[in-house]
Amino acid sequence: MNCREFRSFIDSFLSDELLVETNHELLDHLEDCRDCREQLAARRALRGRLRTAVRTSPAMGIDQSFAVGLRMKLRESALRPSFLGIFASYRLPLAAALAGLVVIAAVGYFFLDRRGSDEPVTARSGQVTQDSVVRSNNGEVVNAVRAAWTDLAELAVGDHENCAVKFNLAEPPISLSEAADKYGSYNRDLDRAVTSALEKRFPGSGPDKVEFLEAHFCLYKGRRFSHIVFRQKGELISVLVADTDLPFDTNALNEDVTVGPMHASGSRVGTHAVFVVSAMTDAENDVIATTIKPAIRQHIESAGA
Amino acid sequence: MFGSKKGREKGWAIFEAEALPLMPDVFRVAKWLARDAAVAEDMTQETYAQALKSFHRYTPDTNCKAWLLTILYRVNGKRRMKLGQLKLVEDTEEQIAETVAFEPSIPQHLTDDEIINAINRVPKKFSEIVMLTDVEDFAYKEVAEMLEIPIGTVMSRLHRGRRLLRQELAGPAREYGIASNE
Repeated sequence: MNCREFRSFIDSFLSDELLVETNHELLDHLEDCRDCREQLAARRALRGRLRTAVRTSPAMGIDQSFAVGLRMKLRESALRPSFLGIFASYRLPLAAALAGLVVIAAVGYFFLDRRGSDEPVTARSGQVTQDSVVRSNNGEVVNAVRAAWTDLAELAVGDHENCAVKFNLAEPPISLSEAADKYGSYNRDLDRAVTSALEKRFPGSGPDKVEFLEAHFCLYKGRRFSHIVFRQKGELISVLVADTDLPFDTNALNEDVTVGPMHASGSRVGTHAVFVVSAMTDAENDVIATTIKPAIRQHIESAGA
Repeated sequence: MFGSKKGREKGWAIFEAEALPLMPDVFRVAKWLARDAAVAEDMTQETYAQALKSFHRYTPDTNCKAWLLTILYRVNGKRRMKLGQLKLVEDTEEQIAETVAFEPSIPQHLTDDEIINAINRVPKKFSEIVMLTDVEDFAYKEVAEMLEIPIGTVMSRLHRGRRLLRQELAGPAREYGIASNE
């Protein structure tokens, strides 16, 4: 194979679309041709840079309040019984009489549901406020918000497992300083605020001493987190902070979430969700969460975020 | 939509596990197509509404992303039809073949913004293929099915798209004085 032939295959080779035999011919050529090796490396690097640039560009990222609102709307729509669904489940000899009852029930359900949906809970606006949750008195909305919170907590656990534990994220993290310029000034020195609070609570000489390991800003399944990693009693602990438009702190939302061996203590600080994730017990997680929450609140407020 | 209450819950659980995590990807492609965040959100919402309605036609554990983007492209087609944007255009592939006179070297010191601006300057017919293969990781066959074009067309547009991107990037590099024609 000569260089011209190699160059004619290079695009398909990069896209992994060639037959095994053709790949071998190209690799044979690469062994002896430095120019083609350099050309291939440069094109492969550009491909990677394009992918990273587009995937991490803030302009191409989905607005989280929109995403949460759309998820809630889809969930409501999926779980609401349809007229046909109700009718199909009543296939009995008295189906005609039952169908009449079902029509009345469906109209009544539709009427009640319409009253509950006067609040501005829409995917388009994404504005699920505490007032709307409380005033609407709509159990489905509250459940949907709780479900969205659980989803966020599970993403935090996933980030802890794939980033802090396995170093297995698809996109490389960036520093908190860089994140401060791109994603919010609260990222700057966030790790210092958290570390300082933990060092006061767990002094350096005690058995519960907390060891700071690293801090960065990472992306997991489309979700961005400020991520600070510690070690205590031999366990890795992640403090994860994310933007959110979910409603304010309520008892219903400060719930611990367990995913496999991992526990996540979550709470709301202004327009941010803060999670402490580790394999320690809920009680141990909660101690860390209550220790750092005031420090994070003060830090975010002074950053103007 | 999913029948009985158990059926609805089960169907939702599968939809939630397979389709919802892809929402950022769907939005990214929608934003690429529409160039406007609000329009992209509308397209994403419409795509997911249609996907939920027709989820019974999707086979779990197959390529959900390709399935969702196929719906997105249909949504985009309808949107463009409404705007009167679907019309026959000249095939510019021959013209572009004449103007790409050299193979530019790939510059090293470029920012993410310069790369994104460069791909935005590549004609959409070609940049779209580069986006779907290089950014969204679809195979030629999947792109061909999504866009309803032959695989050969996917390959030739990908080749041209990547080449035009390198040419666009050679521009900023020449300004820095670090690029040369091969």
